Amino acid sequence: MIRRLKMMRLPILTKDLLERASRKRTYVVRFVYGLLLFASACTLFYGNIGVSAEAGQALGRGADHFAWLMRIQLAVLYALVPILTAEAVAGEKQRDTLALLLVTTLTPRQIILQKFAARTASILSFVCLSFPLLAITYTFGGVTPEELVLGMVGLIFACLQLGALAIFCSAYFQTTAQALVVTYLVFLGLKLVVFGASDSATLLTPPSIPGIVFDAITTCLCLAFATGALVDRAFVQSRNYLLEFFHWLDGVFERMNTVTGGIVLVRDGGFLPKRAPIRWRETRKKSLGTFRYLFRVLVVLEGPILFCIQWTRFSPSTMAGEDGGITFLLDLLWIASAALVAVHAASLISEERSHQTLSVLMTTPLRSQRILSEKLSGVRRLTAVLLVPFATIFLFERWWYSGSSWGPVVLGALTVVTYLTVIRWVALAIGLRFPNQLTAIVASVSLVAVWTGGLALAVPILRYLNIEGGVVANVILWLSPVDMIVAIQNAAMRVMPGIGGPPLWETLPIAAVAHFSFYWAVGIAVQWWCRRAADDYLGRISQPQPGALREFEAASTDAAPWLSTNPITDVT
Amino acid sequence: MTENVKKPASMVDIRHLWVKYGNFVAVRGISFKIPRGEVFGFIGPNGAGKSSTIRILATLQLPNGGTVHVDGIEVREDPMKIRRKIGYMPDSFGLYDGLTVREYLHFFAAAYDTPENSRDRLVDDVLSLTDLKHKIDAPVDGLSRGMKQRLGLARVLLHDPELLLLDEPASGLDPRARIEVREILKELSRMGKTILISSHILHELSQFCTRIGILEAGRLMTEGSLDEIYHRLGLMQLVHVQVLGDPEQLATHVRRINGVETVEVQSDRLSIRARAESLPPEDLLDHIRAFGARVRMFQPEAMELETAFMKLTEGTTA
Repeated sequence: MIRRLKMMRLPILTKDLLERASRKRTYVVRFVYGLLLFASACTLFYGNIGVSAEAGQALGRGADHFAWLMRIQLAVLYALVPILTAEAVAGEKQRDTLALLLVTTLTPRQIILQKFAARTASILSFVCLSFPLLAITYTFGGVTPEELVLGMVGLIFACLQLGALAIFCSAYFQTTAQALVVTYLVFLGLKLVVFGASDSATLLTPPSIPGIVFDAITTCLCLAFATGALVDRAFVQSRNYLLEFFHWLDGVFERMNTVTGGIVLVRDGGFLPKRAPIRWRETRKKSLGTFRYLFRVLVVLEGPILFCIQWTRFSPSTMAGEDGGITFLLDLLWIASAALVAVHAASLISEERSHQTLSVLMTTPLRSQRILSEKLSGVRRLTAVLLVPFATIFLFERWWYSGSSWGPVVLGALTVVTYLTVIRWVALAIGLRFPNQLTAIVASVSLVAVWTGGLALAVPILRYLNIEGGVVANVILWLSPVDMIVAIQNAAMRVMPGIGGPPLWETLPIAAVAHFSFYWAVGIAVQWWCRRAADDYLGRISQPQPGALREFEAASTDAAPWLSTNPITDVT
Repeated sequence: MTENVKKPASMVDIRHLWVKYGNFVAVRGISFKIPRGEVFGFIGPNGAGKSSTIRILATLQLPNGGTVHVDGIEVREDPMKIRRKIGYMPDSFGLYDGLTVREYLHFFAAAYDTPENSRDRLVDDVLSLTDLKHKIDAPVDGLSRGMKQRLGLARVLLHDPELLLLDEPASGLDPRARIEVREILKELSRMGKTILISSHILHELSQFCTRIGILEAGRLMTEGSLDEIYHRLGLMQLVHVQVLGDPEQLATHVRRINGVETVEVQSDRLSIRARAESLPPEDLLDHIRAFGARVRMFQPEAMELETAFMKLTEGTTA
């Protein structure tokens, strides 16, 4: 096939396909995707009926299976396609190789189409994996051949549309990270505006003919815009849009400050580092570490919460037992907090690598453990600020449901401190391990999602499959952070009729203690690993322990050329 | 009580150094010493192993074999102590967004734990030396490449290191910036710093390096002072001479001098190639004067490093 492509003079397509074929990651991702898809399908097919049930029970349930498979497939593809595609052109810009492509005889349209074809070829291989499973749903009955074909075609066009959007963002923006974030935002915005997809169920609705036509039109438009942007935006200076937005906000607030007589509560600038230079930079010079930006984050999070609290207090409907959206806001707050902490902590070291500042820092006499600790000071500040909106909700619930004890408040605070500390250290460890900033961020966020979502879904799936989990199900239940948060929330609202049961720390206090002890142990273990492996992964020679010197002196007289193993160079 | 410890004569002592990356061997058992106060030029094509050697001296990477001593301390023995003695400037200038020159230098002064009350003076001093005082409050990311390199030099001088490790400090600079960096390095050399500098620009290295090491495919092809290398290779010394009167007549005489290989008569000068080991420039000048020529210009050229490089290397990589 590659030879045929070469003969057709498709150099970019050939190169990209060859590159992807030679990467181990391509096969690992495809295998994991296939595994998850087939596991989900098996769960669906054998759910409730059990593997030994009579086949007759499953008849006519094909439509349900089909709809669920489509949702699962769409959800995973929506997450994967931008990650696989957003690098296509932005990566060339970051490697300074785009100019070389532009001076060839290839037209911008050819470049874009070949890039698009290369990326979508691998994505479509993911889509094709689900076709046999979709065909099986047909055998259950309840799905017409037209629906089956429409579903398959719809999946393909949904991928093409998202891929084309990612290619356009990749051609427009200068970095892969910018292209990736904007692709997700524009795609969500598109779905919300065009289809009014206000929840995940509508967003993942199986495709229809008008939907497919819309996907096809937007695909063509995105590719046309990408062709224009390829040349126009090829050599535009990279901009930090988030920083620019923050600077714009600074200007607005400074103008507003003249109204209040120029009062400055906490001054961020004007200081020079004294004893802890990295902490100084993290808390004085970086957006998410300085007081003013943290205060703005606090306002953004606290504002809706205070509004909902007032709504709850004065709305007549909440008197009848509703919480006025407080629980929904708490869920959102958890997602936002976990994502913020994971992204921030994962970027700390990888950002130094991408800015090429790490090697210089490593030749200073600062100990690696101290560097890590100071690097985390900004994230610690962020965590402290995030505690405020959580505390607002917990205290409001304590006051509103006047019958509840202080237990939910204390345990709620404990969940925030515990989980965010674990996320902070795990994300730092991932950032330490992965050289690329984007990979570190994606890996951290994915790990947090798998950890929380996986444990939360494990027990319902076991029940759905009619499998009596016994001890395993109990262990999963007690380890699950989501279940712990829900249990605390229910306990806070148990005075309301029909909501909540006895709090778990009253029924099983040992399990609650074990839960938090386990996560603190995980946090301490990851912290210990980070400190121990810091020298190796930051890229410097470790300070030997006392006594190790004699062993080295003995080894250095050896005539063998390879006296020691070097983890850094071996990994490289 | 002051400790009277005799310092080793060599600032850098590398013996049988091996570096490998997986199966790829970057450095193959090289050995050399850099005496205190010397400026050692490290020359070699891309992939020769220069940066790997410098990174090991900067305690960023473990050697896979051999020993590497900086001021008598083995890099694996006490890397933290070595870090206080060295100033490392990598080939790429990393940027911290949003810092001014003052903040950038104070950041590293604090990282080296220099006394707080002397930091302002230190920053002023290094900025004066690198001629960047007028940029003290300018953002680092807004400086030109040449200025960034000078700022990099200012940074490595903050803690007054004994050894400077400079990896391609002049790469990508325009001629003016290159000359400015060269002048700063000459000044540092006069201050008695030991400098290890890698570069592709042979002409520049030959102007201020006291010793040279030529590296190819991970092997040290030769090492020593320029004169030693010329003598070792039997290289020619190129001398430009301007005289009053008929140059053709002088050229005929000069060709007969023992040690002279070629004499080229150009429009305004004679270009004489002589074997450096048998006819030093001062002897050549004596011979020319003995012919009765009135010498207006006598300029021995230190350009033969290129010849040495070409003669020693074959253009292979490790």
